[in-house]
Amino acid sequence: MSSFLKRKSVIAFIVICLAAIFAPLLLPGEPSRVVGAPFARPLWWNLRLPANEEFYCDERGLAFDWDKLPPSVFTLTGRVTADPEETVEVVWVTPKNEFTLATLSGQSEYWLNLDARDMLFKQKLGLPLIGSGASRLFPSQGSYQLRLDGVDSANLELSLPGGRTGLLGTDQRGRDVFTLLMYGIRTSLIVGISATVIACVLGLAFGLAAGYIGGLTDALIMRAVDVLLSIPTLPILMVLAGIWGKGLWQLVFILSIFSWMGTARSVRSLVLTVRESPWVEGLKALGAKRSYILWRHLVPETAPIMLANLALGVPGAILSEAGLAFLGLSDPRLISWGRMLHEAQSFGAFTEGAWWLLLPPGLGIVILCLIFLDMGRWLEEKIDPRLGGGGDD
Amino acid sequence: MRQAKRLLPFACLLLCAVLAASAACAAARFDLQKVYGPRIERLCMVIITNPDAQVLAAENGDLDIISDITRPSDIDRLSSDPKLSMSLARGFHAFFLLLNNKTAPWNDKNLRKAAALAIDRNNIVRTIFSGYCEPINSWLPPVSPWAMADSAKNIYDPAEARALLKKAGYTWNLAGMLVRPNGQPLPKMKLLAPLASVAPTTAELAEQTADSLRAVGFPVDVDPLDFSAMIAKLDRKDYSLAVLAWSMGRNPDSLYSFYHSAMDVAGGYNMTGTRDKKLDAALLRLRYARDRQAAQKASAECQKLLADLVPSVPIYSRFSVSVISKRWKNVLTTDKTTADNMWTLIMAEPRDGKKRRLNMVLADEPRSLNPFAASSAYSWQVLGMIYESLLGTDPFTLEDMPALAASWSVRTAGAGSGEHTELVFKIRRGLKWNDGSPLTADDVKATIEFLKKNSVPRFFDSVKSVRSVSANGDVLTVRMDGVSYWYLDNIGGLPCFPSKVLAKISDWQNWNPLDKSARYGPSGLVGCGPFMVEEYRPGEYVMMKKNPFYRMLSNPRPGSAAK
Amino acid sequence: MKRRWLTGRILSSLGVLAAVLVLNFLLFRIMPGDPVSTIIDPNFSPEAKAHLRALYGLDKPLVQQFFIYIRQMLTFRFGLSFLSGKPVWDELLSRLPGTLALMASSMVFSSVLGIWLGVKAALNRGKFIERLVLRAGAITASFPGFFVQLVLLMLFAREFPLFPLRGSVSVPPPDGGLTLTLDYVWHLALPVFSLTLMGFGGWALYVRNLMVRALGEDFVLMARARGLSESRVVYGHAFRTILPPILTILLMSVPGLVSGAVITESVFSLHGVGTFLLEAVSGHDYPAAGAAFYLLALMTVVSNFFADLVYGMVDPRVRIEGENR
Repeated sequence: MSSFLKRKSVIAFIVICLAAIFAPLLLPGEPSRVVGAPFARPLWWNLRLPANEEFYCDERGLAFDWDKLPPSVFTLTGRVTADPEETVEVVWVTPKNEFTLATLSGQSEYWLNLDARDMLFKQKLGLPLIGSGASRLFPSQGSYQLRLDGVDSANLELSLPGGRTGLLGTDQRGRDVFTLLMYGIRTSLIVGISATVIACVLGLAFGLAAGYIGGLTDALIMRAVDVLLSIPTLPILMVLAGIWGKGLWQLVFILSIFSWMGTARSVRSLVLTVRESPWVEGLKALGAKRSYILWRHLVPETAPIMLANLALGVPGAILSEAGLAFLGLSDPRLISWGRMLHEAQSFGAFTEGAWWLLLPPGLGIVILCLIFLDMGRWLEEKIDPRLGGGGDD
Repeated sequence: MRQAKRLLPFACLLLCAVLAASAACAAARFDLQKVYGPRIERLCMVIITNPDAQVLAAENGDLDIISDITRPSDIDRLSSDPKLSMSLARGFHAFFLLLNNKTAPWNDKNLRKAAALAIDRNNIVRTIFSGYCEPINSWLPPVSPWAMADSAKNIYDPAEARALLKKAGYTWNLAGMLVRPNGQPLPKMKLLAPLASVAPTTAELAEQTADSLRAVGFPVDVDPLDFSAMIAKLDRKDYSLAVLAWSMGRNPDSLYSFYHSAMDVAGGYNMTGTRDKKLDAALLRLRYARDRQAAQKASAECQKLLADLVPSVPIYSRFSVSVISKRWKNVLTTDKTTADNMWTLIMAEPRDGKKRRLNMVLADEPRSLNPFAASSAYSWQVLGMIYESLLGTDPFTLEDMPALAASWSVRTAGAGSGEHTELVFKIRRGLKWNDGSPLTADDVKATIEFLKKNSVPRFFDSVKSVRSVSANGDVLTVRMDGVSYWYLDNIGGLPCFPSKVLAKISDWQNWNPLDKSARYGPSGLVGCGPFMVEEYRPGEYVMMKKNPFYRMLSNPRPGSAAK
Repeated sequence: MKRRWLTGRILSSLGVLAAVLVLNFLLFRIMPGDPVSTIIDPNFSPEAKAHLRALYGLDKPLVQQFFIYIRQMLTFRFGLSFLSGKPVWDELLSRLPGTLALMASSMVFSSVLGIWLGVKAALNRGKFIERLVLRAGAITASFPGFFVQLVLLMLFAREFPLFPLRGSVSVPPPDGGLTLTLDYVWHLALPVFSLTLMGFGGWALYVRNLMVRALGEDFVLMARARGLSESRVVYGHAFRTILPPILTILLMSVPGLVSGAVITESVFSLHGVGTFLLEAVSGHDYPAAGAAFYLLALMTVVSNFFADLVYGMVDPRVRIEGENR
């Protein structure tokens, strides 16, 4: 047992489980919270890009120096009061030229909500309609000013989300990737493990029944196995998902229905061999009931195979979930690594070169699978010592 | 007197300046009737299903035109490529929040209005589409010439929404959720949303819409459903709120299908369950308007009533963005249509003068090129280049313009209950099919009769009211049952087929026009459009070639002596 | 004896096929919606929709539809697809060659490579090569498929434009038999490479385990004691023992050859049976989906039957045990 706990894969597994449980408690925000611009790089990558900047100003306006590349978004919000007779002008001064962001008159109080992504904003300023508006408002390094003319008082916020945010950047909506990654561990683990556990239990039950009872039960179960194997899985999953709806447990159930066949077959063949063995004959001769033989003797016999199948089956379930999520068939409200990859791909992360969106969940899936494969291999070696010695991590 | 003499030359100069300016403007909007083309020999529609591969191919130069780019990251990336030019125009897409007008609380007009005011459309546009769509407050697409002037207004005003709710007698509990006038809190409501496989953004749109509604006090939760399951629920009116996006048409008569009480049946499109007598009457006047003026009046009235009734809440309409390689010149873009239109394909020439093939992307396999059986948008992207109709669409105004018909008129004949619309089309002279045979009014007559006789589903609604068709020389007269101005577009928009081909089709359903063995019908897609099919390789490409008998090839070639 | 076993297997295969047929029919009819109801187009009135339903035969009572379906399946006349209006057979036939080429070559490459590496690993216990095979196999088997494929597409079709971005042939395809074949091969290279990369690992690990067990058997010890050469022992005896399970697995993956790889097809824009199936299911295209499912079931049942036959021929114990029931 201690040698088991010392294996790197087990340590990694324990670390990941702890992260799944505690990270959501320790992380500052909700996974759906927008923390920055879309597709922002990690903070430690490409330092020429600006991080998120925020400025607050009153009626005196703003003046600051900018020595980086342009930000991704330009948003000016807040409240301005003025004399209704006066014409208020909000002017943005760059080292190269001036832009009049807003011209207002006729009211005593105005609420500004200007964003360089709006088409009307771009039209008003004469900027090209296609392409980033914020980058045209920051044409070069130098000093920038926000001037408020004809204003009595003002309470404005200039928000400039930049190209760098967070530990692992942001996704296409501006959500923190690291947070999403931590929340996604839970889903991948739960789906992977429970789908495999249920599949193993089903396989054990059917395999025992088929192998021990034999006869018609055996024939029926084996034919059911054949039928299920003859149906292509992916379309059926779509049909079932359409009927039963989306959700974590529906997905687990659907995955397990299609994974129990292999276990059932191997359990059945094991039971067939053991059934005829002398010591089972002896038990029967002593008058042991069938359920006793099944529970107290046959199940423990199959236990090692079950454990090994369990550990080896989890990677399959995790990859199936990722594949289903990739095709868009999983619950959109559920954060999972497969879903992260799906969203990354459908929103253009590959052409954006957003490796921080793709590598973490992809590598995460690979690492989880490797951990379970390694644990399964250890179990296999314990059952069949001949297989051992192939390296251990 | 002397002052006037001095002013006169100045006035003349001014006049000349104004005239010159107006002439310049007219030159910018050239005469579409005199266009010469197609000027390319070959056009290839390349089938690329992977959107990343499409973008990469455009950057590589393997692809010249991509229509309708949806991902904002692609738009930004391609816009910074110096070899490509982008164009943007309003489209026919619209996204609606549907409310079940038959059940509480949405049977109260004030609550529907409050919901419409509560939705932060700007935030949706900025965060999900990076600004490449616009908030709308219209039941017709803003690009349509029939839409009202303020159709693209953002009516977001949560303070006004709360005021409306207060006026209706609602209050808020400690959690910020609405409480009915009778003291009961509003029960939780589900917002149905289709799943992500069709449009990746729909899940987030639903969430943002629900957030906006919750901010004002409506207890809304999102419920993602399989699309068919959702449509089934909408049909049964077994829902409270739902979000749906679809592509609308230019003509306002579609409002009848969506909001008239007669369409509030199983299988009908009145999914909101709207039953308003005044609106019904206006919609009937719109549907059966006898001419353009009556139609305009009725259309304005219907839209005004809808704006007051708010049976559903329009949220936004996506812009259409397309990309074309700068290697091509004579690209036509207007504020109503992007560069990937038929006129560009007809007029395009390589900038460097070297003959080459124009490559356009087809986002999915067309599967069938049988114009009677094919229903997918991709099939018709191809077929639309092969077949023309009596009427075309002006790219500058989106109004009808002459295509096969040189002129037309709509009149109401008969009297009393025997009143019916008569359409008269004057077919152009000298038209030819792409096999060289002449195109006459008899071919159009045969087309209409074929479609009606065989009840071809795709054209069923367009021809079902045709009473009789007669062709006299180059004049085609179509007599309809009943009166409606929209019959003009129904008949004017039909693709035209040669009568000799139609006569030889024995089974329109099984007919495969590209099958050389010519079972069920003759082999070949014989149309009168600018291009014809040279080769269709399933899954790979559709190679089209210039139709040598296309009508615009008889116009004078630009640069040659003419005028 | 043998005849009774044979007839038993044939009968049960037919039973499975019948069950699958009925299940497929019911599954689609249970799914909410039908091909007509999801059309939302104001130019398509309820009247036109009813007409379309009649054309599709959806207005007939369910029992009658069932019998039409059974007749269609058994006579292999699958009718017209709802989505395209084209005969289902034609559409399937246009997609089969590409899918078969892709899947068959991937299967051959990954199994041959995997088996060879597995045997090598089993023969070199404890050495570096075994560790390398085990680790590489485990890692590549854990990759999410589309991830690898998209990375390959970006790297080798864009960054270093060595391979094409899409499709099975160039546009337009080159003339000449040899250049055309080479063009096909060039287009298949990336997809086949990615599938092989992800497939060989499972084979390698499985065969290594099988081989290690086989090499530990008594009869191998006996053969070595008798003085047979190492290669005779390994390939003549041990490898022969593990052939039956390998053949069984190969035969069982035959249906997978035809159902194709949906994700691969979508990444590389290939014209395959996988996307056909997916579109048919999501679009309620009953004739197309029914035909595709039926053919797959047929292939699975037939290959299961042959797998049992092969196992029975090679391993007499199975047959005898089967007869003792």
